Amino acid sequence: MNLDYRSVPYRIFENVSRIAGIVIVSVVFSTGDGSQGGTESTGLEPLVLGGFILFGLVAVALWEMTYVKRYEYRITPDTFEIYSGVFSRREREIPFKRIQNIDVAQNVFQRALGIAEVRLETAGGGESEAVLQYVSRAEATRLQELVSDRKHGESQRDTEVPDNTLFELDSNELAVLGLTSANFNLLGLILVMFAVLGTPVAAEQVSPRLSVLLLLGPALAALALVLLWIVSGIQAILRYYGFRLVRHEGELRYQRGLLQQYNGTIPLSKIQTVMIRENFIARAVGYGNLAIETAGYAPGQDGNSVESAIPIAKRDRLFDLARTVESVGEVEFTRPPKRARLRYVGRYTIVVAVLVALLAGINTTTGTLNDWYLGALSWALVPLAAHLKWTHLGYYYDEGYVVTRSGFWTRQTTIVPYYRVQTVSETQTVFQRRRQLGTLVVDTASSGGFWGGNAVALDIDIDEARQLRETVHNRFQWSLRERRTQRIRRFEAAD
Amino acid sequence: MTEGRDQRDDNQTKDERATGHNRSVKSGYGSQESGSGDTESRSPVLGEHPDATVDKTEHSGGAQPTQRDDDTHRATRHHQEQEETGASKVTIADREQNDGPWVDLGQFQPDETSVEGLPSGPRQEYLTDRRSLNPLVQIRWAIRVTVSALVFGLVVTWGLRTQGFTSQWGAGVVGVLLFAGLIWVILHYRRWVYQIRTDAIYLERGVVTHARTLVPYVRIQHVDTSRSPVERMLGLSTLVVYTAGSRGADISIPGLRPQDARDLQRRVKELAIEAKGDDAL
Repeated sequence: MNLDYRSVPYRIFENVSRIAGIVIVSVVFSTGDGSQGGTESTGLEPLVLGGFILFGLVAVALWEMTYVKRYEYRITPDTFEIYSGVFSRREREIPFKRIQNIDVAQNVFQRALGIAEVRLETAGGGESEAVLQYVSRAEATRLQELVSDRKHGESQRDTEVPDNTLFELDSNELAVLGLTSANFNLLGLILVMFAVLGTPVAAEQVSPRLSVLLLLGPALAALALVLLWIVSGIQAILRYYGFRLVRHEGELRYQRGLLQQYNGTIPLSKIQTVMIRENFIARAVGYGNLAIETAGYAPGQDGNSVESAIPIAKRDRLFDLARTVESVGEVEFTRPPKRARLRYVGRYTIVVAVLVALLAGINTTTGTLNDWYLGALSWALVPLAAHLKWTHLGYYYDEGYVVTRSGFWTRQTTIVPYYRVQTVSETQTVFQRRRQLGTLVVDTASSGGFWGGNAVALDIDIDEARQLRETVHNRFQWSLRERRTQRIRRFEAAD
Repeated sequence: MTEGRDQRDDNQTKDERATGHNRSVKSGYGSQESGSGDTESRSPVLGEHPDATVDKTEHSGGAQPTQRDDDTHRATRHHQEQEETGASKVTIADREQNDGPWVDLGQFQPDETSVEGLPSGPRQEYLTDRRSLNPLVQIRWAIRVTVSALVFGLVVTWGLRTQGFTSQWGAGVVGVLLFAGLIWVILHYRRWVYQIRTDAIYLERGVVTHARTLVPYVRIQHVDTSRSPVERMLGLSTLVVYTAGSRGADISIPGLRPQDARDLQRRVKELAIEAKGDDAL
């Protein structure tokens, strides 16, 4: 089968707009008399330029037409095959069994044309295994159905259960989502920027004009904060508008988006970890979001965050929904021992000390910060900060799961089933050794960024950590055997 | 020469597996083999090693001699943590429990059975005691530490000279760094322990941050041995074990003699093959 013919104009439009963007940017940034930009220098040039543009357009059109024509996909009983490439041809076979996700995305223009982008993901690699740009909307749905059927094998098809809606975002929740999803990474950056630029030292050293910032600093920072909040709120609303999560046989399906409509799947059998994340605004009103991590590359993943499976819901509801995926029981967190809190006091004291030393250093070199020692007053926040860090830490384990929790700004609760464990380690830094503390790291094959995915029990008693390491490992072995036994029984039952 | 040896190992393995499979058919597990696929891929579905039922002495003849003897005395230094090797509690899985809700059945044991009649567990001769690395690895680390101390020292010396200090200060910095580095090397060597356990590779390492890691065989994707030029000069080799995990997904054991590394690679490979049976992802 081929791509939809309507994707040709869209692809041309896409390419041309991209090239136009580059040209515009280069014109704007060039001094004005560059060879491409200077149309008014001679009479001949507009003609030449027009010729070039026309030639470029034709070339792009021809290329896209050939590309679409030469792009072919076939569905065999076991594999999805793609034959593509204009000059260098590529044939790719993807076994249905290995396909983890199949996602369909449609932006406004694509919706107008009635085409959609289909992405196939497997566990391997850092990008999509195959991207069909573009097929008709109906074909996209058909492919989605077909892949999910083939993936689960014909044998299980007869046990068809009706789709079960797990979650639907209502307007209240959408409003809460908009209000609570501020992007705090940027916020920190802005605050630091104002803190640095707003100081009289910077004003004196860099430019006197910056001293205006000192006066306006707090006001500007507040304005930036509000703007950031509004922008990220709108972004979140556009992204998750009309969110709906449905259970369809062996997978979860979701759809979302106002301008860019998105349709994705999460295979239940490939789930590595389930995470509940509550940032401090959402937590204050009892809300949070839920993310499900599968192995390998996950679509819609930007940088180091994982896309939410439930964008926003009440905490209890989140746990209930998590339980439909992983049957973890009532979670009762154990906090690290109280001496861990002392450790944070120590750590933050060092931070404050370094800060004060920096201020003192600035004072001795520039002589502008006579009140540098006042920085030490910020130590008053240290006990509170240490306590807050400590209260949000916790771990829990039962027969089937190990659950950890950490983070004050965004509290993250990670639920890891034992049978998804890859490696278990327990580490102990010099500072932890002083207080007989240790950290347990349960690694999984999840795709989440640097902080995502792994269950980390921070600063627990070292003996407990050692014991837990063995316990998690043993339970992992047992869970494997249990699954194996179940599988054999299934085989026997099938006979 | 090395290739010839590897091949021999492979053939031997294949033979073992083949005979094991035949035996499993004889002893009546054939009924479960209704799945698709060939012999090799089906035995993992059966879950356990059919040929482990057979008298174990049969294998010890075929397997390579283990170096347990000369390692035992090396490992005695660490005997205080010997109890971590596990195999002390013996519990037998209750067959009735396999269907019901999950029950903690205690320590995983190599000799117990979870499925009716199916023997399980890795072959004992693959396991090792707690082993240290080859002492020569200290030279390798020392070279690395020295080079980085010198490079850093040169930069610092240059930096200090622009500030009007004499080169002696730079030399002093290099000296301190070298001293600290060499102490680190010795401590690092003393901390490093690895062990092939019944169901996982156990690693213990780290000077500033102590880390103890368990790498289950089931999760091993592939096993490499690699030798850098310095390692070749010293006659050392590194074993690298890859898992699908997200952080610290590859675990390397440096400072092995090449024959040890190959032996270890073989053991881990065998154990990983045995442990297969569940989809890793």
